[in-house]
Amino acid sequence: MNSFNPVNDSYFPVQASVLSPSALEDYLLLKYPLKPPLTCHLFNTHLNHVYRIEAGDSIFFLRIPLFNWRSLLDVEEEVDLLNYLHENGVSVARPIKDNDGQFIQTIDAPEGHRYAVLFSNAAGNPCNISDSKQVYLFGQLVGKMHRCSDRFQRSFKKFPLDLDELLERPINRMNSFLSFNKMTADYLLAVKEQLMGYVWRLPRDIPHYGICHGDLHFRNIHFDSNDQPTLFDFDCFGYSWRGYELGSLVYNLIHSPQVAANRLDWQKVFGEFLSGYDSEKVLTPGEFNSIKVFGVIRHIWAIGLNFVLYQTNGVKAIMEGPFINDNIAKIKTFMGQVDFSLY
Amino acid sequence: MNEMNQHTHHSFPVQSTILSSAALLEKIVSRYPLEAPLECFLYSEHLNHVYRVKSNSSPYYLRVSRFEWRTPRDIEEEIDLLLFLHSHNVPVALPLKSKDDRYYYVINAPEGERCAVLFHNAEGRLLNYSDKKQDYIFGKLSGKMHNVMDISEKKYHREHLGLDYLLDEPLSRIAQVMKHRPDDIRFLSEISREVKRRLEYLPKTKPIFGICHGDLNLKNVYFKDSVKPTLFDFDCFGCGWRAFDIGVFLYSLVQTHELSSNRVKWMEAFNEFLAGYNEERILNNDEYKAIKLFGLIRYIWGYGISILFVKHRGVRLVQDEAYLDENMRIIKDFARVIL
Repeated sequence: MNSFNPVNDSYFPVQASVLSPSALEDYLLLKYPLKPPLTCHLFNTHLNHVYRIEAGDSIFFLRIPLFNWRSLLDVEEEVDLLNYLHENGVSVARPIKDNDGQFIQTIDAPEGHRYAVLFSNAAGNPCNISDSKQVYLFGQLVGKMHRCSDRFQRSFKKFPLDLDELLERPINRMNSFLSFNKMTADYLLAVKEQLMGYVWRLPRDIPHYGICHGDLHFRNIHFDSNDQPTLFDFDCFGYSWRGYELGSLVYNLIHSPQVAANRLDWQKVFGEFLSGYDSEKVLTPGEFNSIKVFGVIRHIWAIGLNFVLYQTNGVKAIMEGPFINDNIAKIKTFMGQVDFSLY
Repeated sequence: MNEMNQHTHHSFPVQSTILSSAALLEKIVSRYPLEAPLECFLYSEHLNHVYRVKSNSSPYYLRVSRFEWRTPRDIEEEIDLLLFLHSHNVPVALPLKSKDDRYYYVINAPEGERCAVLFHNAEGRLLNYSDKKQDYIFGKLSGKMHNVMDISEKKYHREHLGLDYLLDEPLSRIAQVMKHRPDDIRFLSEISREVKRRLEYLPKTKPIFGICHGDLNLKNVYFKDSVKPTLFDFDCFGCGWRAFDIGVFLYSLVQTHELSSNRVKWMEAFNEFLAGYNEERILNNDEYKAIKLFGLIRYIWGYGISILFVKHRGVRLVQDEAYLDENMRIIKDFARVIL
């Protein structure tokens, strides 16, 4: 049984990679106006690989999307949006310019091009759900961000967070992997039609529909020691209903271990968030009513996301075990609590 | 083999990769005598990357070890052990032999060499631990496996499943991420001292010590028709105390979510397993007492692995105090019950 190398001198093709932190250290020193000693550690791996960078007294985060997760255009538009928000007084983690004034690096990973951006640190800690002042300020900052982006005279080409992206594609992905029994398939179809029928009747113009962060939760905002917030992770940004933006937060609140652990009432926490939001941008009763509907839509989108990741995480966890049944049961429970009247 | 598209050397250096399932199908799986049409996709990724290969007749599993996780010699020894067990009627998921008579290939991944082995499917379903008969059969098979391993003449170089590897190394990794929690570190070193004190008397001789499966948890056996078991995943095999193998089974029962609140149920399953095991090989009283200690050791070993894997998953996990709290809570609960 001698070892045998079928690929000779060339590398075997790969579908995903984790770039070397030590090679990234050299790369950053070369490309950015940063001084040694510089350290780079892999911080998080999900849809993006995030590295934590320490250079001198400063902390940065280098974000590198998985291959094929984001196009160069997606990342360019995100950078433009962040720069606009920053220039207009919305506190966000900013993209950092390299030595040539560029914000985006195209990295030639073994699987293909990946687009890296270095971000400033959002100082402090995640929003404390039990701290009503922080929750209020979170809502206020999101309202301000929505209002500010409505004035941005620029149209984005990035795919919108519309019914195709939020419902059709996720459910199609589930169907292509799973052979649902007829009852489950019929149920999902009925839910989809009910949700779509509702959303079709909602206004689709500013300020009800516009730029959304796309992934609001209590860890995507940090508060420094003076309670100054910074919003970050606009990777999922796109045009959508503001009801969806707030519905995503509700979905996250309902399933938050922090809410459960502290026996918090999510409706109360969300009420605090909304009063902050309303201080910047008033929701119509119709928008308010749509939030829970979008909470269900967000849940379906989130399930579907797991099927996007099959090339990096494998299919075992999504195709075997309780994953799908548990999630569908949760959707059923939540659907029972949703009021589908428009006002 | 020379027709392979050349991957240029200009691409950015990587610390790890997931090999392309399409390329594995084309360049590796095609070397085996399997019935077309074939499909290959990533099934799971943890210590190893496992790809599920679907053929017309049966599924197979292609296991690609992570770079630096297993050497070709490790793989050769595992294959040797599996063939030996099979020849002595211990049902295991066997590796397949390729058309060019090989049991494994070394693949030149961008990060370095990685070994690939194609395994037969273990037929049937997961162990149903509520079925006493299955618990008994699994215990009996584990005892038989240990007996058969004792008649092997082979000296394997595999890492020993000793307390340095199972306890000291994980604890030093854990201490690294808990520097700011001195009370927890003190608690863990007390546990370690106490566990070692209680295990001192366990001899390092057959049949109490010998080749072990290394991860004999309840998910590493499948049952066909509820009565025909097949063992698999010998990736962690090595020399150690047999009470460790059994302790891993106990650990996996306790870990199973539904059982955590139902002590009677997992005790029943465990007692059935032991009855089956004793049918093949009688555990002495010292070994019996050691099993629970090894259950705790297995938990600590697993925690240590998740810290080792921060390299692959990111440091965010271990900077999450809730994660550290949860691990400490489980270790303390476990320790309270068994010490």
